[in-house]
Amino acid sequence: MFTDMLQNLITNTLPAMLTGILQKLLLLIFALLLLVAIVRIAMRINNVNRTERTQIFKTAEYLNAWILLVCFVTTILFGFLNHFEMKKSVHAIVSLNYSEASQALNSNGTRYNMAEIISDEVVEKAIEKGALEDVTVKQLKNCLVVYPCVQGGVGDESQYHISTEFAVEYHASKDTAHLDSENVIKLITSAYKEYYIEKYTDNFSIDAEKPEFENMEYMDIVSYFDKETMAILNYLYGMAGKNPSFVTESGSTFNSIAGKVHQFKETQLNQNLKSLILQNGIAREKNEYVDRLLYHNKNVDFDRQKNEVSYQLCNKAIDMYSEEMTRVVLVPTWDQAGKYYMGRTKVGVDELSVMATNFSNYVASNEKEIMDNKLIIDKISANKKNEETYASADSLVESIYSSIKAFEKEAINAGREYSRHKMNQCVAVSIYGVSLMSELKSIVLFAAFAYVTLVLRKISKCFPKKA
Amino acid sequence: MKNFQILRYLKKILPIIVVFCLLATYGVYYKLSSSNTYIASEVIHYNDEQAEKGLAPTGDKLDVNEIKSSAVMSRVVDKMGLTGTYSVDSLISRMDITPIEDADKVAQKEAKLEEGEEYIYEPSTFIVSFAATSGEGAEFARTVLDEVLDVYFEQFSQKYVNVAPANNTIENLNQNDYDFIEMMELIDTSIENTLTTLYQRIEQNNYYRSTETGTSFAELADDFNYLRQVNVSSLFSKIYKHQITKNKSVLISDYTTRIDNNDISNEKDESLVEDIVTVIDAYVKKMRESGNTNISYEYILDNLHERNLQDYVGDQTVTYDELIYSWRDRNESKQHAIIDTAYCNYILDTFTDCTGKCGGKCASSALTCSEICDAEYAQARAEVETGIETLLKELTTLYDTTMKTNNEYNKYLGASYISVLSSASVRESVNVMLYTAIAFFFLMVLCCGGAIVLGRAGDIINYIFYTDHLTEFNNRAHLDKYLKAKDKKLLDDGVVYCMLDITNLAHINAEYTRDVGDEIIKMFTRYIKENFGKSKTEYIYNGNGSFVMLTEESDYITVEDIMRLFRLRLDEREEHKNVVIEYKIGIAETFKENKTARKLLSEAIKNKKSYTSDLNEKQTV
Repeated sequence: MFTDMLQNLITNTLPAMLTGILQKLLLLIFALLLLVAIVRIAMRINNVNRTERTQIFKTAEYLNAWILLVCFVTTILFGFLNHFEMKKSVHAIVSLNYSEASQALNSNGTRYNMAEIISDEVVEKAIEKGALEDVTVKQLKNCLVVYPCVQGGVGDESQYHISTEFAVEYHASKDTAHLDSENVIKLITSAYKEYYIEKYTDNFSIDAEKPEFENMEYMDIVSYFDKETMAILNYLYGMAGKNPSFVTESGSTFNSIAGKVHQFKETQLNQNLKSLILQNGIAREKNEYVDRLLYHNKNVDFDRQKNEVSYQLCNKAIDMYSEEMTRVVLVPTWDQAGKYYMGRTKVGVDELSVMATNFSNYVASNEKEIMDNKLIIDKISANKKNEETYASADSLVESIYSSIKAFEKEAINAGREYSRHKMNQCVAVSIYGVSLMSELKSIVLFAAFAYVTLVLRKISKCFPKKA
Repeated sequence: MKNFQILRYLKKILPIIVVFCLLATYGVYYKLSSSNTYIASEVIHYNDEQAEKGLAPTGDKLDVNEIKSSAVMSRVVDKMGLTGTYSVDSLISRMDITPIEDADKVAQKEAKLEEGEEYIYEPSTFIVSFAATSGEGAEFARTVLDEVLDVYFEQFSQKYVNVAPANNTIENLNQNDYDFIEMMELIDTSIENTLTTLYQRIEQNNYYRSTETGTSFAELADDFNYLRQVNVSSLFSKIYKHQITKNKSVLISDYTTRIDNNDISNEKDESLVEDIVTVIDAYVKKMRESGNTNISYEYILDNLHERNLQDYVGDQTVTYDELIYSWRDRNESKQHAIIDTAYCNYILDTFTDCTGKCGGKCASSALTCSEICDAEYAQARAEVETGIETLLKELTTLYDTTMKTNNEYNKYLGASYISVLSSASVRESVNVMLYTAIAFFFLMVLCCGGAIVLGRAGDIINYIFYTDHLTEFNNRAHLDKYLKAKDKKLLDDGVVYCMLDITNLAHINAEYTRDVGDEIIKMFTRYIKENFGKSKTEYIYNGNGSFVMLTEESDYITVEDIMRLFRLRLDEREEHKNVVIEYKIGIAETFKENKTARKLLSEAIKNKKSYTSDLNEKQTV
């Protein structure tokens, strides 16, 4: 491990650090030369009069071959070192391309937080993605800065602005000097895109693992299928609610797919499979399943009794109301459309009546459940095992499962297609490296600096030590 | 004294003033930058109608200061990993919340109040700010503010919108010493409560789907229902069928106690019900006697009422309704307790039931009949234990998904109840560049003003101490000062010193009076000025008729020519023609050997030549 670290230090970290040191050293040397020249001129300036000074400056060799050569060589060296140094700083622009972004929201309607672009999760993901070595999340995070490209103000409404473009800057530090800057920023933005899509874009979780149908009761399989188809329907109806007119490349809409699933559920599941199981009393563990249904009925019966009691009590409470206390008062009022009507005061009887109706519904529902279970118990109890029916049921189960999975896939594909259409990739990233112009600017500035330094050095020597 | 010329005062020291001002301005810039703070601000708006009445969606008072509550801030500190670096209080103190009032609404409120009508209006838009020091930087301010609002949005929803909990209360339930039936009852109750909460969520937003978990509340409810219907029922029935218990005696005691408690509760409820009936009768009687019940269906209120007064979602029950509800609730509680007693008896019967295989041993034993004689008991118990463990695992996973979905839903609701009008922007508390520019301008004005004042004061001092009042030339003291200043400096090429002495001044004073002498000096002064014209010359009157002209950027020949012209002018004078003037002129120019002022001056003295201006002689001729 130590050897690896040492090797990495020698091959990556040291050269990267060396360029920085050499560049600074070069600048320092020239700065010192300039300082020495200036000090020398300042010290000797009184040894000559103004005419002599003018003469010195006039007759100086501004195009001295040595000066030009040294200047040229050092500028080349500086340009080379500068290129590596500038490569340590890059930036990228992250743009949010979905409609909710203009309300400072993520695409799922939660509040957008710019800081997530360089959050620990994203940085960790970037390190994993790029298999970056010898760098921690904290070290890399310290090199990153994120800020909005345009920011508004809070002075008055005209200054309000919701930022949808953010700049991410990376400036390598000594801990990350061994990393390729452009690669790092690419990894960060790519990790953020993945993180964003994973966290904030439409998602439909599917039960990837196939259940062990051979260990499940047939009626439980029906419930399972029912649950799965309901989940698909729920997803499709939800998507249709967002955009009912969206048509996929295959020409389907969310509602048309939902219609197919619903139809399939009604025919294949509720009619074919359920009827087959019920009418033939098919069960894997007959006694155990009957016991379970008996227990369930007992339990539901307790609920039914409670609901029945509540229902009766609501009715009794209504009866208890004194006729004199339930008289209503008419209230002249107007509705939201501004039209007048006569409202009436509400009294407890109204609410108790609603409650009584609800309890009555619960009782009816409990009774239906008990009766359904009794029917299943009766059918199962009367059943004589017929292998062919079982085989037929098993085959139907497999076929329905395959169909449900196919519907699931179709729904997800339609959803993804919609997300692509709606959000235009939701997050777009542009990376900006070092521009040739900025490199040239630095080189030209250095060349001028070097030239002035060398010329001044030469001139300073023309000033006599004594008057 | 010299004329008041502003440029003259500034000309020399302007570069120094500029350099000084630049340095001082940099100092000001550095100081301002280091003491400056960055303020990140965001504008938020509460979308709920109730907010303008100062109320939260639940009807509670809306307290905006919750944004900077320690509950929010401590979560921010945790989230950002600032624990130990920043105290919660220090961060709270840097938060600021400023309301933005709607001018129309305020005017409307004032108008209504003037008319004596009640009108409630509270601002629902706020600027939330966080200040960071210059050391922490602008990004820190923005990040903290973003995190604070993120947490607040979620907590707002949790507290005022999505209030029903859906927590996992059964995690590691099997590690406690519960009996199997108790565990199953707790699991069943927990699922039932969770389902109630989930149905509430479904009612609020049927198609809400978490992007993180990919599930909706409806799907979660289906999953819980499925587990309840299949796994929970199966385990219950197995426990009942095989009388599986960890301790029969404890189980029987528990359920017997539950029956006793129900009986006591029933007696208490019975008594309460009777009391409530008595109160109801008395209430109706009193209302009847007081005439409050004489309202017929023809009764209509006189005034028109606004719909929103009726739509106010508050408690509208009256005392009579409350009494009836109370009667119903007490009776319901009593009846449900009776049903629960029946359920407990069912459990007791199930676990004390004897199949007859044990030969009646179980009646007096601490074991159930199945435990004693059912060969499948051990296997069934193991299956139940494994079943419960598996069920708990599945439920825990489901609860985790529910929790994540719920958390995201809270964030979603928070963002829909509170909208962001302007995302976080950072500004400096002091506009450093502006103030730096002002400081530079101020310093320049101050320095230039100072230079002018000092320059003018110098003029005055110069006039008093270094000017000869007869000639208005600099005096001897000035020459001494000049020579002292030039002592350590070399003179530039082209510096020419010229000395002019009236040698017979004493004689003129004696012969023609001192006034004539003074007039001749004045005449010399005038001619010198005329002839030297615009050359760069400093004139000094050294006293006793001695003049020194210090000329720069010139040469010997030029000065010699000037002095020749001077002599001609003197010889052609129209005044004091009768006075014979004897004078000496000495000129010296800088060379290699005389580059210092004193040397050049002595060289000029050495080079003096005598001249006489006698107009009488010319006239005679």
